[in-house]
Amino acid sequence: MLILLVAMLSLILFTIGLYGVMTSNIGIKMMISIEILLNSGILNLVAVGSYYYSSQPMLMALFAIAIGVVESVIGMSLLSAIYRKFGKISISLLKEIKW
Amino acid sequence: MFLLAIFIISILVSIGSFAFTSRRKEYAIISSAVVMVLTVVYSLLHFASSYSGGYVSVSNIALSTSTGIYFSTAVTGFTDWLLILGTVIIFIAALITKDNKDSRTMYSYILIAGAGLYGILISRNFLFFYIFWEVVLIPVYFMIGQFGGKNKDSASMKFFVYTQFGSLFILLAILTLYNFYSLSHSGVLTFQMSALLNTSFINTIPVLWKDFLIFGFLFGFLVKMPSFPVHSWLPDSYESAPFPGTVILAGGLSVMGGYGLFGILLPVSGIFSSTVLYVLILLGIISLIYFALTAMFQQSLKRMMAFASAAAMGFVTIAFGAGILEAGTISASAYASANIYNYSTFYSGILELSGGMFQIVAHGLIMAMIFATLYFITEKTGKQTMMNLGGIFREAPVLSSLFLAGLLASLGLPGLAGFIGEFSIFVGSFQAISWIIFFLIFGMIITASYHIWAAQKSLFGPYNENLGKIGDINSKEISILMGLLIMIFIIGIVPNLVYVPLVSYIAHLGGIGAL
Amino acid sequence: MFIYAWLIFISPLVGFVLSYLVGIKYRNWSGIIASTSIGLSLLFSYLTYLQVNASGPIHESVHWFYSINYGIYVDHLSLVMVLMVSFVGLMIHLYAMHYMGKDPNRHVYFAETALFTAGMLGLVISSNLVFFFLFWELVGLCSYLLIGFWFFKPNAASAAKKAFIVTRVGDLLFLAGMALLYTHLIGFTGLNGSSPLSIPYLINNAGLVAAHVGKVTLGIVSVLFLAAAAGKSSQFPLHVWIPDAMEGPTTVSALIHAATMVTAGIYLVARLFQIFQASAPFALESVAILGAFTAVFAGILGLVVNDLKRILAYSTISQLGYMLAAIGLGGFLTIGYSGVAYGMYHLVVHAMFKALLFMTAGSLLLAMMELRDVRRMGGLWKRMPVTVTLMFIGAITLAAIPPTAAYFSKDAIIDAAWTYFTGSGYGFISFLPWLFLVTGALLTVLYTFRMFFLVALGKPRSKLAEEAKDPPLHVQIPLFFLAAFSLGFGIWQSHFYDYISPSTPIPSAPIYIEAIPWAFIVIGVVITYYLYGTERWKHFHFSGNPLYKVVKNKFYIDYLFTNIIAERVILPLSAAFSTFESHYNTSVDVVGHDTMRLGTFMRRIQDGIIRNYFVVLISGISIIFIIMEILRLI
Repeated sequence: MLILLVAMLSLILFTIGLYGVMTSNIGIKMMISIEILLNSGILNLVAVGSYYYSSQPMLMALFAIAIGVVESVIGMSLLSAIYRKFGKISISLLKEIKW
Repeated sequence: MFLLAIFIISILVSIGSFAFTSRRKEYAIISSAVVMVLTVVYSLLHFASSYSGGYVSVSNIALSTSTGIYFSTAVTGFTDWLLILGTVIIFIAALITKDNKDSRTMYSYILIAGAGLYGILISRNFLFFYIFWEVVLIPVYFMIGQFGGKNKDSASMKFFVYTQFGSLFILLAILTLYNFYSLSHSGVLTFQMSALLNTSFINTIPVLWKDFLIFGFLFGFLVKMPSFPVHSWLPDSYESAPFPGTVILAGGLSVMGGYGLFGILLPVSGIFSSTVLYVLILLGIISLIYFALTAMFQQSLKRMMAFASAAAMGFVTIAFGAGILEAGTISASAYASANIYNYSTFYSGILELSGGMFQIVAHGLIMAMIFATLYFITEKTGKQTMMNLGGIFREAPVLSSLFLAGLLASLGLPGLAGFIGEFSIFVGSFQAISWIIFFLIFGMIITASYHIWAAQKSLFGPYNENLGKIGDINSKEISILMGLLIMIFIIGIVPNLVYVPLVSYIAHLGGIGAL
Repeated sequence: MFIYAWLIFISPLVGFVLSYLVGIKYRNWSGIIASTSIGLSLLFSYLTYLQVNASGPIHESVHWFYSINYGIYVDHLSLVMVLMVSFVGLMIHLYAMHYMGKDPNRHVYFAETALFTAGMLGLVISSNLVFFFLFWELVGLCSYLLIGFWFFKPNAASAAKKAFIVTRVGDLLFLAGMALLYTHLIGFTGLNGSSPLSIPYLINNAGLVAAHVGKVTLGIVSVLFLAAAAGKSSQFPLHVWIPDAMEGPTTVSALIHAATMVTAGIYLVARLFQIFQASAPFALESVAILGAFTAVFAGILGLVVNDLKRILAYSTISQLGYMLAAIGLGGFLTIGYSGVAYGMYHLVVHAMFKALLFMTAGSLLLAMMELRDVRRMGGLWKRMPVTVTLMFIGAITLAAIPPTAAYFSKDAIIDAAWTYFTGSGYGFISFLPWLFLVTGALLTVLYTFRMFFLVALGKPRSKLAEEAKDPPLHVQIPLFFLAAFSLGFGIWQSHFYDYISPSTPIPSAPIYIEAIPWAFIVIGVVITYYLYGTERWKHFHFSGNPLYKVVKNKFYIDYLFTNIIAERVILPLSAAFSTFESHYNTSVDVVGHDTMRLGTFMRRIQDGIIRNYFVVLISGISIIFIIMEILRLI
């Protein structure tokens, strides 16, 4: 029962994050939504690990958190480079790589 | 061992040519001459010892025994002559390249193509065979694309994609063989030709895959030769390529196609059904007549000679098909006897098979000479269409005589190399199929007509005053052309030089048509 | 004993190389070197003659490739040819040194004629058909080069091309005949180790070969060889190249198109006579009919041309027809191999007088500055007495007036034709040779004396003719030899016949048949003198006459070959193929273009808007997951 609730929570978080990434134009908002996505996945992983009394998913979750940190740092540095060039962090300004 | 050394030398010189920034022409000429002389000396030593056992100078370097990749090389009588031809072609191509600041990379391309050609001819492992097959393509593509004449971009791209497409089928066929060999020999993986090219093994492959195999090989080789339906890369590539590139195309790449037919497919000729052979013969006849008639209508001499080259290769296809068709009824033991060059007993199929192989060698030399002469003509006059030339015999008699000699060799005048091959194929294929002779006669009449027409229009008649004053060729250039002419003449007078090694190759094939 | 026979053709080969190389610096030496090499050939031929008389035919062969050997075979027939070729060749070379004068390319000329003579001599004594074919083509090549010697004349270049292509057709038929013979003979145990295309084997074992191969097949082989001979010796219908070949220097016409190359075809048929004889009867019948028909055909054409050399060219074709017919008459059993003897005798005599005629024509043309129209000549007997007298000797020989040598040779052939007719049962087919040959005799007299009277008698009709002068006497010495020969060779008639074919009868016919050619001679001379010896010919205008038009257009055979076959069949065919080829190539390009357009279309998915990339990514993943679930549930 509990696992079901946690899974639903993670699903709701996933949906919120996905919605945030897909519809926003502001860089910071997209980064935070991606964090929410990541955390939903990690939450699901930990819940499964605790339900099955296995430590492997916990280990994977630790790795995922570490990687998430790194990925946010890179994203933030990209955003600051965009800000330096355009003065805004609106993602719709990045249109150069196309056919 | 010696063979491997020559091969490694040719690879090293081709890579080393990038290191020279100045005096590349001398480097290229000397290195290609060295390789040529070594190859010729090496081959002559073999002619003297007459090839016991078919393959000589075998070497196997195991690179990965579990997947069957060995760098194994060997040389047969047939391959020896193709090696001589290949190295001579590369040498001539290096000699006729113009030496200016931009053309430094041209020499590297020529040498790399030469090394690749060498590798194709000596490798006995299918993987390396395919690798070197591809290696030859790339420098030629760059040659056409960088140094070519009109249409060079589209012509080089067309050449590359078209021949690459054909080569892909060869790769698929090789992989099919590889796969089925491991299936039927309990998981042993090998790319070795000696294992994979085995008639009895190939006949055990399921029919659908066997047909695909035959189609794959034939398609790839016919694209290279070129033969009728898959020849579209020919006219534009030959015409747009710089003259050294055309020499390599005509002398080197057609050798690849011919070697594929006679070197790879002839040992396993038992796998061909007679339908396939009839189709091949039909393609050869169509090639001959189609290319001859098309050549007649061309205005540009270079394009006309490109078609002439393709028409001559039609003879090779006919020889291959007719020879296997005729020989198919002789058992393996008959060919393995000691002296099949002794004419008192009759071996069916051998005349046109060795004629086809002879034609490959002769055609390469003759086309090299014709294109070298055309290079000099274009250099002197700046024009290469017949309408713009005319009567240049008056101003440049030696050059014109040499061009005439090349044309006469190409149309099969006896005493020069073209006759022996055409005669053997003519008489031999008549033995196999009698109705073929009408087409051959028609094709040869048309061939004679357009060659003489080209000579008359460009060399004889009143002098075309628009050309201004042109000079004759100097002694250095004469010596290049005379060298080729002397080789053509010697092969035409003493065909035994080529035929004896060829016959020893056939004798050790393990019997043609061993079913 | 040392075999001199190889040196017979090797000597002019060396002469070819030397006279070109030396001639680059010292032009005048090239003629001397070439003539010396041929003189040496004559010497070696004579030595070989002595050898063969002492010990019989010489046969040496060396393995060439597969079942083909090369080598020499010298017997009486080849000896006669070799002696004739080297002697006439020497005479013509000596004269040519004067004729070529100061031509800047004369070293090339002498090199090419030396090479030609080497080829001809090699052809005669070769012992294998493939080796024979090599020299056959070599001779054709030299003919091409020499016809087009004055290459800057477009007519000459075009004539050379025509000669090459027409003879090439004949050569390919020769190849076909060889292929057919080879295919049926290879593997035959009766070969006993000799090559299936070896000439001595074929002629000595003709019966065995015929039994193995089959008479009809052997007949087809023979007809193919006859076609090759027709190409080289310009018989109908491959005769079209010789009249145009007269564009070359006159000494070339004398050497190649009168005495030697054109006799190569006749020699082929004579050499392989036993094969022709052993095959089905139609083989030798075709030889006889073709030869006789050509004799008449060319004679008719010779009547209407006005070019001096072309008249002689048609005369050559006609006389070659006589020789071919003579050989063909050997199909009748009592004549047999004697037919070859009759033909060869006429061949040798013809070589002599035709070379004489051409060389005197050469002197005339030198004086007339290569203006060849006989209607512009005239009255030259007074002005060039020596030359025209020599020409007169040649003309009477050509017309076969007794006691010249050609009277003996030609009338022998006509009488043999009568024997053929009576002996074969008075059939229609066997009547034709005699009919054609005897008509040919009348025509010969007519065109010969038409030409001679127009050239020699009357008043000069152009400035050049008025001022013509004889060449210096010493250059005419070779011509004296030939003239003496033409007059006196009749003495050796039966010796010659017996040398070729032992105990040959001299043919005879009832006196009323033999008198017909004599009557024709008288009638012919009278008619031509009446018309051409006086001024009466100018009053006749034939150009409106349709029959005249047909003959003037050479019965439209030339038109058939050039305009119809070459221009209206082959060239459009070639254009069609070429257009197809360019469209075929473009279709391949179209594939490439379509692929590029597809690519251009597909790449618009990358529109640069990141949100869309993300949407596509998510939707793609979801679709994959849904499909996986569905597949798992099925």
